[in-house]
Amino acid sequence: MKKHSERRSWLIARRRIAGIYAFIVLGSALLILRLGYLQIAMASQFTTDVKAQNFDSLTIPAPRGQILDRQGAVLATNQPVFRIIYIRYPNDNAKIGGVAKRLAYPLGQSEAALIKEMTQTNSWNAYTTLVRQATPLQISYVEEHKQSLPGIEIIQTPERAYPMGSFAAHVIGYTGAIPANQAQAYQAQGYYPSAQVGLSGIEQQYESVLRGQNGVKRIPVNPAGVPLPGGTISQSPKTGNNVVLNLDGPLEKVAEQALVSRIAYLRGLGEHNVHSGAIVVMNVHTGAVLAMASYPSYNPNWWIGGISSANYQSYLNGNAGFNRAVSGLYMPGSTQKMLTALTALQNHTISPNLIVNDTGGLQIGTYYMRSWNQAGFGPIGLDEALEVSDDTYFYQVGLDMGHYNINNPPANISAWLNGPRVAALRSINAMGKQFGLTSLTGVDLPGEAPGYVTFANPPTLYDLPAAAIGQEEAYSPIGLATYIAAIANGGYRVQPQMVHEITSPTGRVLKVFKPHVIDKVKVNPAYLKIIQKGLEMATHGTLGTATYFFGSDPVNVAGKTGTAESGIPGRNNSVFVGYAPYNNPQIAIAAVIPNVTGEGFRAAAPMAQQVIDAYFKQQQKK
Amino acid sequence: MESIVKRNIRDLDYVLIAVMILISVISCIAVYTSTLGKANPNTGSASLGIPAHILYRQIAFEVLSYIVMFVVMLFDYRNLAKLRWYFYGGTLLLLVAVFGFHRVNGAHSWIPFPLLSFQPSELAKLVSIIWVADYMSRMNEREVPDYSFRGLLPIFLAFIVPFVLILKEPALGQALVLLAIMYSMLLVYVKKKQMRWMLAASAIFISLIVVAVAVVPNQTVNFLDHQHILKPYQTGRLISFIEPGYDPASSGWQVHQAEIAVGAGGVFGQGIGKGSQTNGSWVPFQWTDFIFSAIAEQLGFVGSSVLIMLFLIMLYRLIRVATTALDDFASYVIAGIVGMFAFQVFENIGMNLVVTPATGITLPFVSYGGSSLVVNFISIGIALSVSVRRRTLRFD
Repeated sequence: MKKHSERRSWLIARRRIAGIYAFIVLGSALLILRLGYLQIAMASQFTTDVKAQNFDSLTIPAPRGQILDRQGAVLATNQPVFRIIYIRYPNDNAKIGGVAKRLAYPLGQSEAALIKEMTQTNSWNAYTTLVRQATPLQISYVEEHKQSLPGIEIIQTPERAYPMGSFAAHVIGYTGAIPANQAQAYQAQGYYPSAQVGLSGIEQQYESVLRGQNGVKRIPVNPAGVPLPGGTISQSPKTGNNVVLNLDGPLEKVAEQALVSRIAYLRGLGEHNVHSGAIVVMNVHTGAVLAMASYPSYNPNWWIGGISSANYQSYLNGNAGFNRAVSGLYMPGSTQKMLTALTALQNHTISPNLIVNDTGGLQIGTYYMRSWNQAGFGPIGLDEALEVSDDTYFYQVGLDMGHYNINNPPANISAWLNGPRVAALRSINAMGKQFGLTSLTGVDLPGEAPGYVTFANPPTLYDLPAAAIGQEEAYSPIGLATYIAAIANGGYRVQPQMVHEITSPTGRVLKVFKPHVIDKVKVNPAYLKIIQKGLEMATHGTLGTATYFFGSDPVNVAGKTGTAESGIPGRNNSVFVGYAPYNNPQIAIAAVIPNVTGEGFRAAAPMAQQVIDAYFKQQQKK
Repeated sequence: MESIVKRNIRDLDYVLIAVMILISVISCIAVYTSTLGKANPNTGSASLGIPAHILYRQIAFEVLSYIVMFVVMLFDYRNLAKLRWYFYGGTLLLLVAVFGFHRVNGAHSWIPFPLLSFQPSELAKLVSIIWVADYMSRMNEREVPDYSFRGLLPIFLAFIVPFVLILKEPALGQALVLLAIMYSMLLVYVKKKQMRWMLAASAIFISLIVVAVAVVPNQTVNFLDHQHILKPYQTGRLISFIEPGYDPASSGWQVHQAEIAVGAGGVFGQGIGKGSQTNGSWVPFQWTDFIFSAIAEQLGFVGSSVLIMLFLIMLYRLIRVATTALDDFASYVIAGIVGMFAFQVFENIGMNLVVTPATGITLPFVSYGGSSLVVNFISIGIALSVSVRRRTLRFD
C-alpha cells in the first residue's frame, strides 16, 4: 500500500470532493431559499388554506331573548337541549354506512332513515340534526364510541320554550325553521340555514331584538372528517335581548277566559256558527295594549323542533294561527254610528241639534229601510239616538251627508249615485283613517289588516244609509280599540303598543317605548263631548242598548254595542266598543264575536264587562 | 499501547456525534407528532402499517442504531473490502427474494422479519458503495491502472444490477439514489479526460430534463406513460410537480398538503404538537417520506433551517474524514456515503418543498423506519471507523 502522502490520485480527488461540497452547500442554500419563500413570503396564504380546510366551524346558536309580560312573568324562554348532529364532509360518504349501522339501535331509528337524514335532509347545510333531544343514554353511547362515529357530535343548543303554553299565543307568536321561500332573505341577514326564527307575533316582529348573535366553535378535523380534540370557541354566542310587553298577564287571562267561555256558552245554546272572536284592551292615553285575545288559539310549543302533523291540523283548524285582534276584519254595525255622526258634524252636513222623527224606518225611493226597532222611537236627538242605537236617525244622517232629500230626490239619480253619494262614503272613509279604522293603527305586530269602507258596485240608493249604520264597513278589533280610545281621550289617536321596553339579558333597560300619539283627530271637541255623552247613555240610559250589562256596574263604562249582518243569513257580528271610567278614561276595549244569532249585544258586551270589571278590581288592589 | 476502545474514545468525531444526536431528537419529535393518535382504525387503513407504539419503536431503533454504529466503528473498515463479495452477493439474493413477499403500499420492497420489516434496497446502496470503492482503490494500486471506459464498466455493472432490481419493486427513489452514489463516486475517481466526458454528459442530460419538463412537459409525460417507463402513479406525481394544482385530490394531494403544512409553519412554527396539518393527518405517510413537512409546520423556518444546517455539518464532517482518510478505499466509501446522503436529503426536502418531483425517498436519520435507520448509522459507523484510524499513522 502506498503511503498516505503519496496518494497522488487522492490529491486530485480532494479538489473534486471540495467541488461536491460546494454543490451540497449550493443545494442547501436553494432549499433554505425555497423554505423562506414558502414559510415567510407565502405564510399568510398557507395559513388561510389551513384555516379553510383543517377546521370546521360549528355555529353555536345564541339563546333568544325572553318575552315577558308587564309583571315580569316569562312568556317565552329557552331550555338547553342536547342534540346529536352529523357534520357533513365532501369525501365522507364511505363512512356513513358504518355510522348509521352503529347508531340505528341506540337512536331508535332505522339505518336507511339515518343514511337519508345524513345525506339528503337539507343537503345544503353543513350539518344535520339526527336527534333533537338526546337522552342521557344516547349521549353516553355517542361519547364512548366517538372514535368509530366520524362526523357525529353532541352539541348543546338553547331551544325555545313557552312555559305558559297557549297563553297569549297570538301575541307571542312562535319560532320555527326558515320558510323555504324566504331562505335567501334570511341568509342575507346572516342566518344559518337551520336557524330558528320568529314566524309570527312578537317573535317575528322583534326578531332582530330577540335573535342575539350566534357563536362559532372551530373544530379541527382530519381529511376523513373525523373531528379531533382541541376545538376552540372562536366567538361566544350572545344572548338576545328581552322584550317586555305592555300585556297585563292577569288581565290577559281574564280576557282569554271571557272569550273562550262566552263562545262555549253560545255554542252550548246551539249556536254552531260561533267559533271565533277577539278582544283588545288598550290604555286610552298611551296605547299600551293590556290584553289581546283571539280565538281559536294554539300552543306555540307545537312548533318547537318542527310541528307534528296532528298539531299542524289543530293549528290549521278554524285558522287558529290567525290573530283576529289584528288581522281579522269585521263589520262594525252600530259601533260605526259615532264615526258617522262625527263625520257629518265635522262636515256640517248635520247640526248637533238634529232631531229626526223615527217612525221605525225610512222610505228611500222604492226601498224601505227598517230600523231594528220597527215601532220607532218618535222624534229623537243625537245622544238619544246613540243611547238606543236608533237606525232611522243614522239613515237620515247618512242621507244628509249625501245631500239627499227623501221628499225631493235628485232628478238625476245616477249623477247622485256617482257624485254626492261617493263623496259621502269618501268622507266616512277619510274620518275612519284619522281614527285608525281604515288605516293601519301601527301596532307592533305583524299582519295587521287595514279596515275599509265598501263602495258598492253597482251603486244603490240605500248603501250610503247602510254605511251610516256600519253595514258597509269592515274594521279590525285593534282599529276599533284605537277608535274608541280616541273618542275617550279627546281625539288623540295613539298608536297601539305591544312592547313596553327592551332589556338586556342581565335585565338592564336598553330602550323604553314611549307612548306615540300619531295625530290629533280633526274634530271639534264639543262634538266629541256629545258622542261621549251618547255612549254613556247607551250604557246607563233607560233604553240604553248596553244598560242591561253596564247600568249597575260599579265602574262607569261608556260604550256602544254593534250588530252587523255577518254574511250568514240570520247571523250577526256581535261587536262592543267602550271605555272606562266615563269621567276619567283609562282603558278602551273592543270585543267581537261573529256569527251570533239575533242581536249582537248578547255576545260581545258581557265579556267586555268581565274584562273591564277585572281590570278595575285589579287596580283597586294595588 | 492503548486499547482500541480508549483510542476510539479519544479520537471520536464528537461534532459529528453531537449533530447525529440532534437530528435523532428532531426525528423522535417528528415521528411522535406525525403519528400521534393515528393508530386508530378510522384515521388510517391497516395497509398504512402504523404500529400503535410507533414512538417507542423509533426510539428502540435509534438506540439500536447507535449501538450498531459504535460496534461498526470498533471494527477495522478494511475488513469490509475483504467481505465485499459476500455482502454484495447476499444483498442481490435479498433483492430477488423480496419479490416473493407481499406488496406493501404497492411495492415489493419489504421482507417481513418478525419485529422488523427489512428493506434490502437500503442495504443495496451501502454494499454497492463498498464493492465499487474496493474496485476503484484496487485499480489505483495497479501498475497500469485502466481508467478508460472499459475499466469503468464493472463499476456501472455493479450499480446497474441492483438498480434494475430496485426499479422493478418498484422503488424509483431508491433506484435513483444508486445513480447518485455512482455519480459522486465517479466524480472523485475518474481522470481528467473521463471527467470531461462525464461533465459533458451531465450537462446534456440536465438540459434534456429541463427541456422535457419545462418546454414540452405534456409530450414528455405522454412518452413516459405510453412507453411504460413510469408507472401511472409516477406519471401523476410528475405531472403534479410540473403543474402545481394538478389533481390535488389524488396524485397531487400529498405534495399539495405537504406544501400547505410547510407554508403554514411560518417563521417560528406552530409549536410542537400544535400543527393542524400534522395533527389532522392531512399529509399521507407524513412519518416517512413527508416527515420534513411535519418539522416545517411545527418548528417553522427557523427549525427547518437548523435541520438543513445540521445535515450540512454532518456532510462536512464526513467529507473531512474522506479527505484525511488512510487509504483510497476509505475515501471512495465515504464519497459514496456523502453522495447517498446528500442526494436523499436534497431530494426528500426538495419534494416536501415542491422543488423536486415526489419519489419514494425517506429523509435519512429522520423518517420513521427501522432498516433505513440501522443502515444509515452503519454508514456513519464506517466513517467513524475510518476517522479514528487515520491519525494512528500520523502520530505513530
